Amino acid sequence: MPENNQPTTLRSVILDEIKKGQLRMRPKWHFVLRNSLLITGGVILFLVLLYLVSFVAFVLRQNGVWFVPIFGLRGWLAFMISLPWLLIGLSLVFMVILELLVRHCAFAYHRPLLYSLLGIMLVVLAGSFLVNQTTLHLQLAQFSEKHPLLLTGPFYRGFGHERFRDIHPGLITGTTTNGIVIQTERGETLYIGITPHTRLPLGMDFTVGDVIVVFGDRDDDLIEAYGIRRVPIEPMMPMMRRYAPRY
Amino acid sequence: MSDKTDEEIAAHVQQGDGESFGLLMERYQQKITRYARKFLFKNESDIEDIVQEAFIKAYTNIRGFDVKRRFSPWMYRIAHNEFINAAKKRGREKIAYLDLDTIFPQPVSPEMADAEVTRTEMRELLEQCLGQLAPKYREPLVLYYFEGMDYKELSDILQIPVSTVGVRLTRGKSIMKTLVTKIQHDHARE
Repeated sequence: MPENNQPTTLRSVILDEIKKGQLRMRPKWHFVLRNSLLITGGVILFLVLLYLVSFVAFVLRQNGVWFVPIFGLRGWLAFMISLPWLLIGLSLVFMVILELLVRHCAFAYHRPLLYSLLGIMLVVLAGSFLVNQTTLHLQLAQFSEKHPLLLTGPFYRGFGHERFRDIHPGLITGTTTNGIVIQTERGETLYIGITPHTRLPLGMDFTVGDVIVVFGDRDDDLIEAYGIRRVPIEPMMPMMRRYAPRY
Repeated sequence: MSDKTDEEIAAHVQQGDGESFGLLMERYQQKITRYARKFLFKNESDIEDIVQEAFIKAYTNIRGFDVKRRFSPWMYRIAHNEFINAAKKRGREKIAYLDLDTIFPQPVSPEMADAEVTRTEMRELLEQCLGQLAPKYREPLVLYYFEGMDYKELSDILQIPVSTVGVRLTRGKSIMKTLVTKIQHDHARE
């Protein structure tokens, strides 16, 4: 750097360096590569997010947790306790990383950070909803059962087969004088007691072969139901295929 | 060549005409140096070093400049990054990475086209108290009143929401007026 009293100007110093080849432009491919890597990274992150969030929704439906808030405050409490917080936390971290990537684009930084973050959340939730309309997770879950050593194996077995003390999804296999009998995915037979206090938000016209979620504390193989609701068959497909041949 | 736009000259430089970069420097050296002086308050030698570094970065990265966009905000953005790095190295002033007014939506005040008289007055007032303003207010005020940037250009240079630009300018002006009143009051007492 020249001293202030020297006649050389900043312009001539830099032009001199350019002429001597000491100062070089980065090649175009450097920027193309950098942008491609950023875009690829962003797309991969988005796909991972779609997978994670749709997986959380799939798991919640499969283990019955998704259906319990209908039973009121106690249902909501069980729902909150049973959420896979590790996966949700991981999804949030990925969303923040995606936000940091998107933040360099003019459409994002021209608006408050909250808008772009909410935008990402909305797109991911909508995308996950669409993914859950497909049979992707069901097929992966079934595939994982057949090929336990694959990467998805521990994931689906770990989270997909997680069961909770007071949430019991199962297939109705029979009735008793004061309740019903269900078979769970693990092959257990549970006897469900229905009392006048049992909450039946979607009615009581259960028949053998229906899939239900029973909400209530388990005592050995007896459950006094706090609430019962019928659920769609789709999330319970693997169980249905195992125990009810007609599916 | 001198009748060409900045973007046309930048396109020439990108094609390997290094000499043309001198023209861009001619057009921007004074502006960037003024921006550095008003924002950083360093001695002249440091300012020269930092401005030189900004132009070196601009030349090195010029092939990453999209000639369909305006050159000026791109050049100022590079200078801004250099200045922030310099301010962080000095460590005397706190530079916030994330600020609440960039996170949450702010009431958008429409961009006011200040009359030249008002701008001149503001520049005179700012000269009195720039050093006492926090960097997050000082920088937009410098770019708006001394460099003649509009809200959108400020948003592109600082990479903050347009509404935040408005909020920082309004708050900065308000703080500045308080500071000027205090300074004038102190002078009157002396």
